[in-house]
Amino acid sequence: MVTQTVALAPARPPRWRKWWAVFNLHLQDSFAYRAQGIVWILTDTVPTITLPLMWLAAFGNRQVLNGFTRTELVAYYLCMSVCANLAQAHPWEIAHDIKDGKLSIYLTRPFSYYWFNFASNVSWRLVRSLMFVPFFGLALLVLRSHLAWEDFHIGWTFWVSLALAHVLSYQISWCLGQSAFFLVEVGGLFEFYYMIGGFLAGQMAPLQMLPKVISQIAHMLPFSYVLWFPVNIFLGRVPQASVAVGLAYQLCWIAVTAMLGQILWRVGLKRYTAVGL
Amino acid sequence: MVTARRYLRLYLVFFRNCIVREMEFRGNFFANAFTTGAWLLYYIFFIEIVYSQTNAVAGWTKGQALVLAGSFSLTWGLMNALFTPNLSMLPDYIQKGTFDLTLTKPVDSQFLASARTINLAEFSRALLSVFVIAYGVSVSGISVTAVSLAIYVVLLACSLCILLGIDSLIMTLSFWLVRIRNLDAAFWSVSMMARYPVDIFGGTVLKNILTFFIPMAFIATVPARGIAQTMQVWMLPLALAFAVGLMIASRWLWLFAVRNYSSAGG
Repeated sequence: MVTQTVALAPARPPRWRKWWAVFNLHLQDSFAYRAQGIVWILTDTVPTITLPLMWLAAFGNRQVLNGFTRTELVAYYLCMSVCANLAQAHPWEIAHDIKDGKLSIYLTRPFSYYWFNFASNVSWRLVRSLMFVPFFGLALLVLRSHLAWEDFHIGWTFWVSLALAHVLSYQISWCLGQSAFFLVEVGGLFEFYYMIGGFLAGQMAPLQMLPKVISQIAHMLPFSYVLWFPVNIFLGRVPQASVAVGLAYQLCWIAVTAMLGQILWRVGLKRYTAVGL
Repeated sequence: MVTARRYLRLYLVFFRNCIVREMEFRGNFFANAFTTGAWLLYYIFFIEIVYSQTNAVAGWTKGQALVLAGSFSLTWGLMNALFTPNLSMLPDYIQKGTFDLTLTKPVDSQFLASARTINLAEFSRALLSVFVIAYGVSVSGISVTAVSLAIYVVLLACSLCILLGIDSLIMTLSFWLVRIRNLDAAFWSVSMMARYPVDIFGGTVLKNILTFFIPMAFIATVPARGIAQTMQVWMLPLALAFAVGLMIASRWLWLFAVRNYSSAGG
């Protein structure tokens, strides 16, 4: 009996082996296009350096600007860039697959396109973060006179919120990418998303610096839970009681976007005609 | 003279073609015009936020910062209207081998590769920028004279030449770096540094690099100083030198690249 089970094993490899293969494939793919990746990282590095410099120049003789010390403000943007590297997903690939008809290939394969893309995103995030290290070093070098380790929190709440942020950002991209089922031209929508989403996530300026109405709106929408929330946990600006509320918001938005994603997928596939194949 | 007239006529034909094409996809055109304008407002909003906390950033008042933002957006808009749509396609053409078609035409290959299509929607950004500049001038109470206006226009022309030169140099590299399809993003991210007053980089090495090595200071900071009359005298000849130098360098690199081009698939 025992020998029989062993003999059968190769025919039914465990599930994780399948996903490891997909993940590995994407990992190799990401490394193959590392030159392109470096160019994309460069586009993120410039604001990571220039935005804090702009604020630092705004301090003048003051030590505190709207509750932020120089060190905190620099730490805000540096942490923001790290979180963006690890968490921020993009809707382009999904939209391209739908538009070019490449989605059909994935539909015939024995795994879900949703998880296939998820694995792709995770592996790209990892490779990207690895390639980001030298650029991060450059940012540290430029901003070195304002660096100090204050009471920053990199405990489990930070990592949990970052992991949830990763899932949430992927879900948002998943929903947005599927708009390609319904729209002829998605570029405008995505650009609008990058503008508003990035702004409400606190990528341009800390939400504390914005007019109260806008920051209140931002706290209700999902975008601030992709970047602003983990970054503020890191800075120690989220009180213990509010951490749980924030995590609950993240889970809530994950649930909402998951549902929306499912609906879009069901309706979208019916409309999908594999144009271009 | 005859050649110049011929190229001008050719350019007008390109222009007309682009208008015809854009009007075919009118919805898309208006959407693009809206988004490019929105990006300018986005940055203006950032300036408003920063100046809601302070009166001066590295010696720049809010009005001056608006003039700077408008100046950047004006050259950037013109660049995106006239040249980047063409130069950004270069890696694609080289990779697929369609660049060969450009070489077979009886026109200068660099002219064709950098000026064939015009993105009309980007003119909305350029137009909006003029209003931002005017607004900034009125906020900061700068009194514009004929001389300062003339200097400003010359500096903006230099700024456009510098941006075009750098973009052209970077994109010409795609003859060798065939696999990097997003080379245009490299140009895009470097030029984003020009959006801020170069003075925020303090007395650091970085400021000197951005003034004398990668001349980002001459894209918007120096023109804005020109109209605000806070410019130092040496900046004007240096701007002209950078503009002319980069034009010559990009021409030279292009000719060198085309001479060594051996088509795709080889």
